[in-house]
Amino acid sequence: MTSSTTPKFERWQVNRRHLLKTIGAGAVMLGAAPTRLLAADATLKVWAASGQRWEFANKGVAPLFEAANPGTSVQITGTPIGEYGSKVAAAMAAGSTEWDVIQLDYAQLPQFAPAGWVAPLDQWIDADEEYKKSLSDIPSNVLALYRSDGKQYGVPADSNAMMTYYRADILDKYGMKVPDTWDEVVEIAKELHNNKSGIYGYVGSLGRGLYAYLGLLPVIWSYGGEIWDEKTYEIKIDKGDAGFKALSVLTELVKYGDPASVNGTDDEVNSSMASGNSAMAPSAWGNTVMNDPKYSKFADAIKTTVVPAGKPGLKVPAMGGLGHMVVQRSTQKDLAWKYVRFVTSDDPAVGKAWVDNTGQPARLSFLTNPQFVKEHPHFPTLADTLKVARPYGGGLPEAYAIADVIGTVVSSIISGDIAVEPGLKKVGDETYKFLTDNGYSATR
Amino acid sequence: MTDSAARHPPPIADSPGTVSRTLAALDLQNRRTFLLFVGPTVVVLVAIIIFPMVYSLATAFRFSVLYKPQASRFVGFSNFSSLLGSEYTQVAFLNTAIYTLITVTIEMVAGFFLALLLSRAIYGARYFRTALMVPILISPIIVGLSWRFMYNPSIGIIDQALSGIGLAKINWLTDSKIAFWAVMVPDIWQWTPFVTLVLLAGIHSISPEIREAALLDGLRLRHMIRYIYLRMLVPVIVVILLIRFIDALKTFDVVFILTQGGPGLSTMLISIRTWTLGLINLNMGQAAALSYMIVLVMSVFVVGLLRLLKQRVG
Repeated sequence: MTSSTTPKFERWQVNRRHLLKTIGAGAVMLGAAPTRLLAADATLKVWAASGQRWEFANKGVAPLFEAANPGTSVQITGTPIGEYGSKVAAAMAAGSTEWDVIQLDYAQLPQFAPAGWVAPLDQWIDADEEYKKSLSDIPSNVLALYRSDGKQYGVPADSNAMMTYYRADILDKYGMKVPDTWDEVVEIAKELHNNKSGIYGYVGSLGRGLYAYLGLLPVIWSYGGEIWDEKTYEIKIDKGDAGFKALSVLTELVKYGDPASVNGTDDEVNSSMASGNSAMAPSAWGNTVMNDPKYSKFADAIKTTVVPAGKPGLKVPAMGGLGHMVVQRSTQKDLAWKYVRFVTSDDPAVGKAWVDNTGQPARLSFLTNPQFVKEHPHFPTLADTLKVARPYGGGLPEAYAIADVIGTVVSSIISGDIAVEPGLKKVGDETYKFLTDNGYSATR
Repeated sequence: MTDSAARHPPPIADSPGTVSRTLAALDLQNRRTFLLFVGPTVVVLVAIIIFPMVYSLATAFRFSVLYKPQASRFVGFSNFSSLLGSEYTQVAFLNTAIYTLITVTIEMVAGFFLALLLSRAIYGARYFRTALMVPILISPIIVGLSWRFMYNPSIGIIDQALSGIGLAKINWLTDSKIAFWAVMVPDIWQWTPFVTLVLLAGIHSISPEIREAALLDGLRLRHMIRYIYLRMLVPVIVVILLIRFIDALKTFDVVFILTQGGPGLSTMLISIRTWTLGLINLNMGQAAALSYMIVLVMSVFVVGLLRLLKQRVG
């Protein structure tokens, strides 16, 4: 075969000119790389859940940290919240030394602290009197979420709790008052359904598993009930009438509310409210979407209040939130702590950067700051809600697993597959089985 | 290397045992070259396929929960027995079996008749064949999201259309009696075209003389289907069945996005159960055990189909 007939790829080779060209191109690309990365003496790797509240907020604060710490660069990696927890756990279990700081859901601390994956922060906190004093600005029950075995493993820059979002204009239009009890929520849902307003009176995130479990909590707690006793592991859901009332309320709400609630996640709730399909989300997670005119033309009409009561005056929303923690295997733990301290500090400039970048702070001074409240009108409600909110998961390392078991049965009940009464027994049986299978001395 | 050796390279190993024979037949330099080319591939295969398989098989027999590394231990068949005793797993297996059977059957039947139709001289068939490619090319995640929107009772096009013609809206994904059937539709929508296109290629490969002879013998369409098309397409059908059954048994993305396995357990598939065990419960032992149970079921099925193929083709 002559060279003219040989295909081009057969004749391809690397000569000295090619090699020099490649090296030159590489040098140009290196020159174009962000100068701050090249100039950095140290690079801090922060792993957060992606998007609003977490990744964006960290990215908002990082430049301030870099400015305050010349020679330090912060790299923030975001992973979707649905897979973030398991990916972080897998990385830690594999002994990864890649990460310095993680922002973790408190419900996973009972997994991470005993496994030795995160470092206790007490040595640094105790050595910093000013910072330690400033922590009184974070509600003590929120700070306690990140404590295990007497040690503080995390400090939250972020907080969350369930609250009631409602359309003030719709309630006004139909002469309804803001509901104070779950019974009133059911009444509103029923009335808006029956008067053919075209708007649902209820939307909730009750999808199978974790969502349905979380959806049950503020209702059963507000009737004074429990699924299981967190100290004695006694199964309580089918004892007394709180469980029955709570599941009856949810079943009624689903009947009259937005059907999307049955498989609903936060997305369904936010979009149903933001698009004007629903007038009320009585136990929605706090978020910066619904009140944002960029996302909803009803933003100004959507107001918030603390979740409804079951028993008179008993309002008990579930608590959310992700705290900043130092990874035990980090090779630069002091620097990692420096970042945690910075991002969770009471410096108003840091707070502003956090809030401006969709963050939802844990500090009461930020949640009640008039400038921030103007931007996010639900902050004062969140501040009030945090005072009465309760953590979910019962402090078990198997929090998500038990939530999946309970939430699956709850989903069957609210979708009508199982009636409320036998359903209650089934929740009790499944919870008992789960706890005993996992080595807890549960009683029935 | 001599010129003759370069011009006449040794035969490529194509059957068991020939690799060692080939190596033995090579001189030292050729053997080195052979190992240099084959070695990296073997190393990569071992690293990314063989090792994870062996490791996960070992994990299936261990108590292995990510956040309890100290408690990790050999537990024999305990993971398998607890899974088999679990109502969730039983429902997931049953749902997966029904899901697979129904979706694949509908895809095969619909795909066959569509292929038959498109094999005729129909005006525009060329464009239709191209259009058939579209669903196959879409990522399952996008298919799931699109159908989730379409099924939405408030804003979805399906319920809007039903309302438009005066029919009641249907809660496609939130009514547990309907949801299981509703999650099958996107799969059928996406994969019937694949069956159609492969069968169409099979139909085109049947010699026109055979069809003409059958027509001259006065065979009616149903006889043509039974005695010509189905008989001659057996190898193609078996291969499609193999691909579609394996795919359907593994279905995850679309159903997960549509319902996450709910309401209740109504759309719980074995893949979603495995995901829950591994990535929610972080119980790698049970997740690995369930994965191997799926592999076992698939293997039995694949071996059965391959035997059928061998018999027919033989």
